[in-house]
Amino acid sequence: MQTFLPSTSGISLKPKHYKLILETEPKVGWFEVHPENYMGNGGAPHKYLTEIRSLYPLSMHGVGMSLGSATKINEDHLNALCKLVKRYQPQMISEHLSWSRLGNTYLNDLLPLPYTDESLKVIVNNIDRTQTTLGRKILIENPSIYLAFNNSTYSEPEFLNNLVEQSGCGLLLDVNNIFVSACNQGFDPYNYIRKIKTEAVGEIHLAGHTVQKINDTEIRIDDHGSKVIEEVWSLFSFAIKYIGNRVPVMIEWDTDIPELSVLIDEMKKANAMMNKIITSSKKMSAA
Amino acid sequence: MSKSLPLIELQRNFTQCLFDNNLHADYLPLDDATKSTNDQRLDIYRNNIFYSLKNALAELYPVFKRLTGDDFFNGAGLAYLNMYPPEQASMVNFGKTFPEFLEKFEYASNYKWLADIAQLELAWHQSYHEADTVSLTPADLAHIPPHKLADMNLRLHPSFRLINSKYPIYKIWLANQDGVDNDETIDLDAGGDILCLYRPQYDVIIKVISLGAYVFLSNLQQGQTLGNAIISATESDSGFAAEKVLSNCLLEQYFEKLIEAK
Repeated sequence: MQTFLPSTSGISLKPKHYKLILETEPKVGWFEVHPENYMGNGGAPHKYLTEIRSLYPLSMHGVGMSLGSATKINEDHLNALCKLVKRYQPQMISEHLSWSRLGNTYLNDLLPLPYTDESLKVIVNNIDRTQTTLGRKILIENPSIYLAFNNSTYSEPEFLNNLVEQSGCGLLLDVNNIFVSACNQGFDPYNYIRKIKTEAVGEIHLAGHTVQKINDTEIRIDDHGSKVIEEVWSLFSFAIKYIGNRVPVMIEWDTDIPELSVLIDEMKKANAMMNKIITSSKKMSAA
Repeated sequence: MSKSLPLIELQRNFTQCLFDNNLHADYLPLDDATKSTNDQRLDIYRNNIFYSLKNALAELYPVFKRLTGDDFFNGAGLAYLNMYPPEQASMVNFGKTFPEFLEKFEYASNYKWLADIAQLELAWHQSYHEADTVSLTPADLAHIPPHKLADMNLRLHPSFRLINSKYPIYKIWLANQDGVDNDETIDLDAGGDILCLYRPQYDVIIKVISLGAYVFLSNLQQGQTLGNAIISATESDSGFAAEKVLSNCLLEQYFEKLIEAK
């Protein structure tokens, strides 16, 4: 039977923290991994993931499915994911609204899509194929965008809502990505959240990013290598108020990985913020 | 650029732009609102891809990187990624054609031993990620009559890898591990290293082996019978002591299973 992620915060699981986690069993709601890092046949990565999975709930957050590719989905990759899902029984599986494959070439990044009817059809078909093979629903995450296309006919939240409706997937709202894209493309991140079908949101991501100056323009780069910035915490707090419920929240960290305690502190901050908002809104509705 | 560019065309053009720095952002049907910075924005995607892949390559080939230095490594890495772009999202399988690339890479042509170092690092990485299995023990063979055993094959542990280099790659590899500060001069002509790598538990073990043991084990790896493997080993190395080598291999847990020969 499939269980669900607890509506509390979790953190990225990183190899440099494996031993400390097993020795100290810290209070962490759940862990998230990129399944692409566990597609080997055996060895230490599987040993540690097996031991940690026996203690904590797990989420598999894919970066390699390339659901937005116009060339068909890579069946070998889907099968490898399926094998991992069977083995580790994660409580959640998620992927991205992006593409990273052209035929046999895998481009190691989350590339942007034009938001058109054609893209919608392609990605709905690919999500459908994935969900049918896995036998369960997946969440789709909004990417960080640096370039937008002139033939888009949907805004990103409209496109995501259509994905939910047509494929039955859920949404992984990456609040940092919304902020990064909003700064880079010049839209209002609060308005973006107001347009999202909140009942579809099954998970939230938070992470740090960096700012680069190009000519006179500031570009924000989503590099998951630092603490969540104040503006993103505020947007997160707005998102929780708007959703009106506790949601599983994840602190992502992929580059310059710090001590485990830094991730745990960020996780506690997210929990405290979410608890305060939900408790006070419940009090208000009770009053 | 037409607004109705099919997705497949757009993705083809985008991919072309990522690999060809001479192509500009106006090759793509992009939003005009960010026109003045679209080239730099395209560069962010180029950087993300090549930076992350070069990092992945550096993690896989740390000794090669330490030996050649950042500049050479970056140049070789970039040339490699352009010639052999990854085909899979799984990072475990990434970079396995790098030693093959180095053998043909013109800037490494005076340093033939570098490809062998890369080969050793790749073998280590593959051994590390290979399937877990229980090894065969001497007791598993005790009840098999010798004449029957000679006609069978001993399948090597999935993590088992063999390397035969003309160069002292093991000495070079050991002297260039992270944290090792070793000024010792290694003579490249001092004779080669024959090695086997395997992982009975979770740590990869490297052993220096004799030529006879190498021929014996590579014959078994190719599915030959134990009898034939011993004959070939004895032919190439007159000092090959079959019984001693076999019992040592069993003690070291090189084998997974006793199977019918091919």
